[in-house]
Amino acid sequence: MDMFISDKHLHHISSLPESLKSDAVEKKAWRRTGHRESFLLHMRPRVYRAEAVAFTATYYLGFFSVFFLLLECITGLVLMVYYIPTPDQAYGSILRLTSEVPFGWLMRDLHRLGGECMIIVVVLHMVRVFGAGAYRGKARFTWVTGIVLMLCTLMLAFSGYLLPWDQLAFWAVTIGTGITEVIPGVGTLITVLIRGGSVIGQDGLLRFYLLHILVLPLVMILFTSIHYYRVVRLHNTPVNVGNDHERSAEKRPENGRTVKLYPSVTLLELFLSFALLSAMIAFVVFIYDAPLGNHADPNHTPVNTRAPWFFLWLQGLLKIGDSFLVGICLPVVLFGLLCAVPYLDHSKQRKTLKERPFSAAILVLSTLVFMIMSFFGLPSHGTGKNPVNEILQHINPEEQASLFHHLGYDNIGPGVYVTYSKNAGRAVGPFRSFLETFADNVNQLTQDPDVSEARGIVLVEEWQENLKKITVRIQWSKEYSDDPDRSAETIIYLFRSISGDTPSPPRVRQQ
Amino acid sequence: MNINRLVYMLICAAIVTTVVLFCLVASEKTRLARAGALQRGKAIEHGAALYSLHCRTCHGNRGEGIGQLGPPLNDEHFFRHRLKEVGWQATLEDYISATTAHGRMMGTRPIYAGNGSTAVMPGWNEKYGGPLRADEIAEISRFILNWEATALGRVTLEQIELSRMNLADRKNSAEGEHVFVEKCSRCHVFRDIDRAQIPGPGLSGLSTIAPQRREGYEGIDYLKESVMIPKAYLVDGYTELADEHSCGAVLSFSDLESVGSFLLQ
Repeated sequence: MDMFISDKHLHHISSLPESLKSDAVEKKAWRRTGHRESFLLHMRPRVYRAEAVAFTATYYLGFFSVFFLLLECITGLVLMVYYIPTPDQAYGSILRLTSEVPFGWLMRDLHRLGGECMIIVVVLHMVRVFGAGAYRGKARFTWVTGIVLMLCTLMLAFSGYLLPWDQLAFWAVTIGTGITEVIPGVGTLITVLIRGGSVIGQDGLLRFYLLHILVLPLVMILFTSIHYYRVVRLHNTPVNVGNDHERSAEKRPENGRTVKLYPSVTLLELFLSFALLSAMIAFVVFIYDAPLGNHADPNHTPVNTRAPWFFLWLQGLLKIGDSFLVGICLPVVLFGLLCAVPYLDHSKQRKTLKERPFSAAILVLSTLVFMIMSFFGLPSHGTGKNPVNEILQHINPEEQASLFHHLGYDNIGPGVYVTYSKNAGRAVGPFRSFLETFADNVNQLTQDPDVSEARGIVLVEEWQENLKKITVRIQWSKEYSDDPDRSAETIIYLFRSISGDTPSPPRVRQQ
Repeated sequence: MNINRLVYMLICAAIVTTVVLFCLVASEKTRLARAGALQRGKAIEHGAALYSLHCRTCHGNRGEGIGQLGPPLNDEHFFRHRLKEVGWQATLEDYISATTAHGRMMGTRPIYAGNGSTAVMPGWNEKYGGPLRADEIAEISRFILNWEATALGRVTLEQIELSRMNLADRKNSAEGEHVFVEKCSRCHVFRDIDRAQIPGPGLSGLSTIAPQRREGYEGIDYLKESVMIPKAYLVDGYTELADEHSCGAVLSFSDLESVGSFLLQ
């Protein structure tokens, strides 16, 4: 320990009584010193160059990323109070959250929507930096931390996807974690480690929960701190400012001007926060509902199992290639290449995307491949289709409300409705439109040369008070077959309170 | 950056946010009530599907009960007197859930289990070896409770006329022959289909015998009861065989309809 007191310290101690009494200048100096040395306040520079905070420089994508991160933390903390991470109670706790806890639905919807927005914003942020070539010099490592943050964001979304413990989540994560099984030698071990067993159960759910609320957020906070510190302190330069400073100055008249943190930047960020929060609340009130399917059932795979939209590209790749090559090797190589981008680009000065046709081509190509592979990843693509099942599944999708829920309880009268018979004429309104479309779809089955005859039957029965049972049956016969007639059906139970409150309009399938 | 304009924009955004939140607070009570009703309705819908899958074979399609196999759940006695009868202290919903989850060690009615045992209702909760989770049992309970209005006569449901299966229909009969050969011919002989390894009752003259066997029973009803509750009516000489073999678990309802069409033609 240093046993000596320096002259500087002696000066401060000796001047302390005076400064406490009346020396306003000294007090102000003390305050400034304190601010400069404060951990929290030193992260924000007091003065920015105007071009660094111009909208066109960054499109505020970094700010939006932090906004969504904070939103996720706040709403996530509220959700943690009510969520129970056990297979028996997880789903029920989500139901309770949405029907018994005031504003529980709002927290859940905002959390889910915020997570998806965060993925979009983070990817756009990366594309923006790539397009601007802002990853050279000191920004190299910042770029790498950004890639880590993007990976963390994707992993947070994936781990959170399982937590509601519904069918879609359970099977999407089961299939997603199953990719690791193809790794030679250690694949099964890794899969069991991730899932907590051969199938995801209590152990697996707890692992995903701890990853989602503890491990990944800690990594995220650590790398966000490094990323932000480097951006602000080491290379706080806008696009096109570098060696070609003069050219840039001609384009940007505000170059050289400064903007203070307070009030300008603070007011701007507050405004953006309020505006974005209002827009998100309006969006979840009028348009967006965080999806929740049926309770997870390890014994029953839903017909249309699909990855979350941000991993559809991977599902698409798995459909067209070897699981190990496209499921493991390709993503690893892709993220490796992304990290290596700044080390592969040896140009001395920053150039716009127009001046880098090769980079522009890679960007356009990647976007196209992402979109095409996501399209291939849709359940409707590349899987065998049975036209009869397709009609029935469209009417009664496994994990969504049936078409009859959209038609409305009171619009569906009891009776037997057979396609192309007179009794269908008793139906009115949207139910009649449904029957007409259903008849057309059933009729199209006869376009198959083997099918000689096809008919559809809709049987509507009052089953209980406020409950109807609707049986939709399709019967068909084959021209050159000894088999008796074939028949397939789906049964829908329709309770009055649900149909009356379904927000979205009826969807009528057109072929 | 124009400070005045920023302040103006910030105030506008803050006002909009406040108004939006105020509207949400004002409507939250109604929204919660609606969400609760939606979930109850959804539980009844799921419960109906589960009941159809697991319960109707014993308690009937509409809870009317099947002989002495399963008691009615859609009658006045169940809703008004059942709790007193068994001395249950809690609610009817608890009684249904508990009975479904745990099953019964002892029946309160004589039961024809069909396989010679005196087993009664099994436990349906997965904890006790059944196929159902606790939340699924709760959904079935909600569905059964929703029979109260019809059971107590407060509501009468509109019944639609459904044509019974045409026993003379050649297509039904052909399907029934297929089912018989696949699932019944191991025990029963029917005309020229003679490959029985277990000496079950011959069924060649069933179309004549079945309508006369029990008073008030049509031929198809007698056949259904015989398959589902083999011990409901036993012909002399088949008591021991009925103890050893049951076909109730082998045939689905559609199988039963079509094989009835074939045997009673």
